[in-house]
Parts: sequence; C-alpha cells; structure tokens
Amino acid sequence: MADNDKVNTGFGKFKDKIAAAIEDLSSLQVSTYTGDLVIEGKDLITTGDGKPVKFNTKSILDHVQKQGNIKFKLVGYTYIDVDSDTVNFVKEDLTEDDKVLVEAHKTMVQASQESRMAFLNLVKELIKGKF
Amino acid sequence: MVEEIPGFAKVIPLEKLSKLEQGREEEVIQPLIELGYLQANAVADLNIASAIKQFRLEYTLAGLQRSFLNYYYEGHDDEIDLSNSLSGFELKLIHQLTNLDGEFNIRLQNGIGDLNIFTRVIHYRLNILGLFPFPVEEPFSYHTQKGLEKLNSWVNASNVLDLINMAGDISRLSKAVYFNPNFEEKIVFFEYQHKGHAEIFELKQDFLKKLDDVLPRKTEAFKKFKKDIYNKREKKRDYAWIDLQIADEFNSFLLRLLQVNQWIKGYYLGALDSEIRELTFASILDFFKIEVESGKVHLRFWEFVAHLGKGYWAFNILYFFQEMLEIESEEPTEEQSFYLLENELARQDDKNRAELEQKMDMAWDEINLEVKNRLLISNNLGLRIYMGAKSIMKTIGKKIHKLFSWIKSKVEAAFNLIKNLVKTLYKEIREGIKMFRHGMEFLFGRRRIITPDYNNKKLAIADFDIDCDSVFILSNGISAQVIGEHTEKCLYYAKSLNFSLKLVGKVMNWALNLSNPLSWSILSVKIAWLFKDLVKEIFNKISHTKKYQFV
Repeated sequence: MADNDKVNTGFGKFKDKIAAAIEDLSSLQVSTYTGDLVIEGKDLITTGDGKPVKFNTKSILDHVQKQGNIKFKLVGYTYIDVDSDTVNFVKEDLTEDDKVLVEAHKTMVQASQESRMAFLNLVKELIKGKF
Repeated sequence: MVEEIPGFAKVIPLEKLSKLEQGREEEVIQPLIELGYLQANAVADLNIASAIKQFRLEYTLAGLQRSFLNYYYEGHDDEIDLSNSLSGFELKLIHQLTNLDGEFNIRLQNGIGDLNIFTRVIHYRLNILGLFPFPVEEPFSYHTQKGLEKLNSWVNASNVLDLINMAGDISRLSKAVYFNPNFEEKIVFFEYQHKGHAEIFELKQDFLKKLDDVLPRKTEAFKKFKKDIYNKREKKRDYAWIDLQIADEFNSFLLRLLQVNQWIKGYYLGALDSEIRELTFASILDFFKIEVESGKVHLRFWEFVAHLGKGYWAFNILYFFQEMLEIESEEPTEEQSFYLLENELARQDDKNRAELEQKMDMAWDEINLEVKNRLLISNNLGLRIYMGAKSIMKTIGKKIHKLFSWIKSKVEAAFNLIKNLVKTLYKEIREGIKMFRHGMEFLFGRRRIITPDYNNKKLAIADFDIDCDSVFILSNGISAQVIGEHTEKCLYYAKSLNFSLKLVGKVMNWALNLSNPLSWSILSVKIAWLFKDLVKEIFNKISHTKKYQFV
C-alpha cells in the first residue's frame, strides 16, 4: 500500500468502517414504527408570514432521542437471514390506514435490500484483483 | 454551502470543492437554449423554471429517466430547490442529448407534427449543421425533412435514423462527407477581410501544387481555378465565379462542418454560423500550430488556405479533411487519454504539479467568466461551450507531454484548447465528486432520510445502518401521500447507492494500490474518469429501448 500519511488517515477510518459492516452482513433487519412525532417550536423555521421554509433536523432528532416518553408502536418488522430465511411481523387488526403503513414497510424492505446489494458491490470492487 | 467529504478533507480541500461549483448555471442555461426550452433573449428566473419544467415533462414522457435510475440521487439536503436548476443526473442527460460525439442514438422514427424531446434533438443537430434555420422547438415538419434530405445528398446514409444519428456524430459524419464523390471535386471559398492575414497567406504556387496533388481527377473547378484565378493577376481574377461558389449550399455546409469540428475538438469557442471571421480563422491557425508542435512538421498553412484578393479566400478542404481524419485515427481512446493525463500528473514533482493546478484553476476562472459575459451577448449563443468530453479528451491525448508546458507558459495557440479542456474536465470532476461524496457520506454515517409535512407538522424518518439494517419512523396520522413520497425517496436513495458505492469502491481500490502520493489533481482526474465510465456502463446495460440508445 502507498506510504502516504495524508491518505492513510482517511483510508484507515474507511477500512475500519468496512470491516465493522462486513461483520454484520449475515442478516438484514427492517423495522417500521409510528409515534408522536411533531415538528414545532424551534424545530420549524418559518418565513415572516409564518410559511414553513425548513426545519431543524438535528434538533428534532435530539428531541426524539432525549425524550424517552415518546411512545412508538411497531407496525412491521422483517428479518432476513443470510440463507434467505425470513421472519415477518405485522401488527394485528389492520385498519385501512394501517395497510398503507404496511405497504410502506414492504417498500422499505426493498430499499434496504437494494442498499445491501450496493454495499456488497462496494466490497466486490474493493477486493477486485486481490484474488 | 459546500461541505467536506468525510475522510478526504485533506486531499479534496473545501476551496477546491467550492471552485468546482462555478459556471454550473451556464452549463444548465446553454443546453436549455440549444434544445429550444429557453429563448436566448429571455433568460430570466421565471423562464428558466418553466423551461426546466417542460424538459422534465418531455424526458419523463420519453422514458429517459429510466436510464438514469441508479444515478438519480439529488443530495441529502431537503432544502435544495431544483425548480430553477438541474440535478446532477438531469445535467448529464441534457449534455448527452446535445453531445455530438455519437453517444446518444435515436431509434424512434418521427413523423410530421410530432413534437417531443427527440424532435428537438433532431432539429438541434440540423441547426448546428446549418440545415434547419427554424426554431428547434417547432414540431417535426416538411422543413425537417428538407434538412435531412439535403444532408443525405452529401453523405448517403443507409436510412433516416442512420442519417439522424450520423448528424449527432461529427467524426462519423465528416468521414461520410470525405468519401462522398462530390467532395473529391471541391475547393471551398469564403470571404474574410483581414489585411495582415491576407498579406501573409497570399496565393502561392505551393497552394496550387497541393491542390493538384490531392484532387484525384482534374475537375472543372480545378481547371477554372488555375486558368481564371491562379494564372491571372489579382485585378483580373474572376470574382463573380468565386461569388457563385460561395453561394453554393455545399460550400456553406463544408465551412460549417469545419467550424463544428473545430468546436468539438476544443479549438473554437465562437458562434456557429458558417462565416469565417477572425475567431474561426484563428482557431484553424491554432489547430495547425499545435499539430506542427506535436509532430506533424510537414503541415504548412499556406498549402491549405490562400488569399485570392479583395477579401476572397480559397481553402483546400480535401487536404484538410485528409489530414484531420489521419490525426483522428492516431488519437488514443477517451479512456487512454484520461489514463495518460493521470500518469503525466503523477510524473510531476510536487512543485510542478502545484503550479499546474494553479494555472488550470486560473483557466477555469477565465473560461467561466468568459461564458458568463459572452454566452448570450448576441442573443444567438455568441459563445458556445461544447459539453461533450470525448472529442476534446481524444484531441489532447497525444499532446499530453506538450500540453503541460503549454499550460505553464500560456502558449497563445493553445489558449482555447486549454480552457476547453479545463472546462470539460472540471465539469466531470464536479459531478463525479458529488456521487463519490454521496457514497462516502453513507459510509461515514449520514444515512438518514427525512420527509417533512410542514402543513400538518408531521414527518417521516428513515435511518439506515452501515450494514443496511433500517428503522423507519412515521408521525401518527401522517398522510398516505407523504408516506408514498418518503418511501419513493428512500428507494431512489438506495438505488443511487448502487452507483455511488460502486464508484467509491473503484476509487478506493485504485487509491489503496497507488504507489505514488495521492494529490488533488490525480485523484480528481481519476474520479472524473471512473464516474464517466460508470455512467457509460449503466447506459449500456439499460438503455437499449426502442426509442433511444446511449452508446
């Protein structure tokens, strides 16, 4: 490898990240929740006439993390093992509104699988020519 | 505001990233004008927004979005307003559509009355060649057919689609013209008033001798030229006959083709109008000087052009095309050129490389300022930047050794070439780095997608782990529409990761095996090429539809 400190600093971190992720590639988990998440107060930035223009992501997420009293309900949970064994959990007694949430959960599973494939492609590119 | 790339803050400094953002607005405006979405004399925010809206509608209808699905990512910032600007993939798309390197083929036959993104591309191509003097945004019409028929009379294409795609591939078109029997008889004439040039390039025996050498049979035009021009004193020459030659459509077309060739190779930056004025003449002179410097020592400019008196000139077009096509056949491929450029940068010591980077940054500032000031000055694209990369990269490929000394010493003949090269290169670097950043941000922890519903003060959050486990949180009572918008966004995000992480993998694989120290210029050239190559790979995989094909 190149003897280059400037690069190695970044590359060292990069390699650690990849190694950590590879360890956990044996399964894929997707969870969907609903909860009492509202954008208001200092989290919402408005124009002079009150029209919302943007919101403070960091502040909202800090709020979510710090406020242990926000109740989240699990709508769907999917676990896919490396050998393709799959566990699906879906909330009971679905209302019409809940069905939309379940469909959204399915799309999120698809998005997670796509991302996983992308990550594997990265690993494939990294090890190309090494064997 | 531009932010650092995680893990690469030292090699890719913020000031470089900010610099790359210059000139993007003009890169959006020019092709919108070229394709008739925007009028050159009415460029205002409101009109740009409506032009972009129409462009989006038409490329979606044509199914072009599909080809870019994996390169759809717009950036993490939900606050980016794209109503007045194009996203990375849209910019790539519109540059592909206006590219004349044969990288976009139309496979759908259009008929009278049709108006879609493909008819705009056809009209744009004909317009560039001077064969469609009507608004590009007009429907496919009798005028389109006339333009195509005229072109076909000079190239003999196998069918209409072949002809349309030849018009989008100047190198192929030039070859087809060169092998047309009419061309073998052609001497091109033009008017150009310039006292200094007229004296230097006065008609000499060398010009006639070369004409005699290259014309395969002694045509009527040659005999006439010898008898009534060459053998006569200046005052007695038959200028009426020259006027007739200048008025000939094929004569104008060849001058335009010459201008377009100069344009896509990076020598010319002016208007495309078939008129030889100072800029076009200077660009042809530059081409010769640079080719002579690069080893074509047998080329003599006065064997190609001759002043005949009263501002009338003759041009030995057959000889010019012969040499131009020979030069093209010796050029490396685009990929090889990127590789040569990267190697040449690596060969420089730190001091030299820093000087080069500084000079290239200066050229970038200059060209962007020039474009800003002159793009719309004549309301008719008085300055046009060619947005393709293939031709210019091929042009500089064989000249890499010389190029660096030209850049450092600011050789006048190479001014345009250098500015064009820098414009092309930095544009690719900027868009490549955006996708590289996207991948790196995923790896370094920025993996959250948020969709707000301001009106109802609710939101949807998706949070991905590095190993792609995900948690999806929705406000109670959030609308189905916002949920749909959010999941679609997440899906695009995931698909675009396919592209960006592959790019990161390729860059990292290269960088980890690099034996030389990594510098900004070497890394950015590498990212530019890998990015371009990856886009091409995606096109090849998925764009073989009935309507179009990316090559």
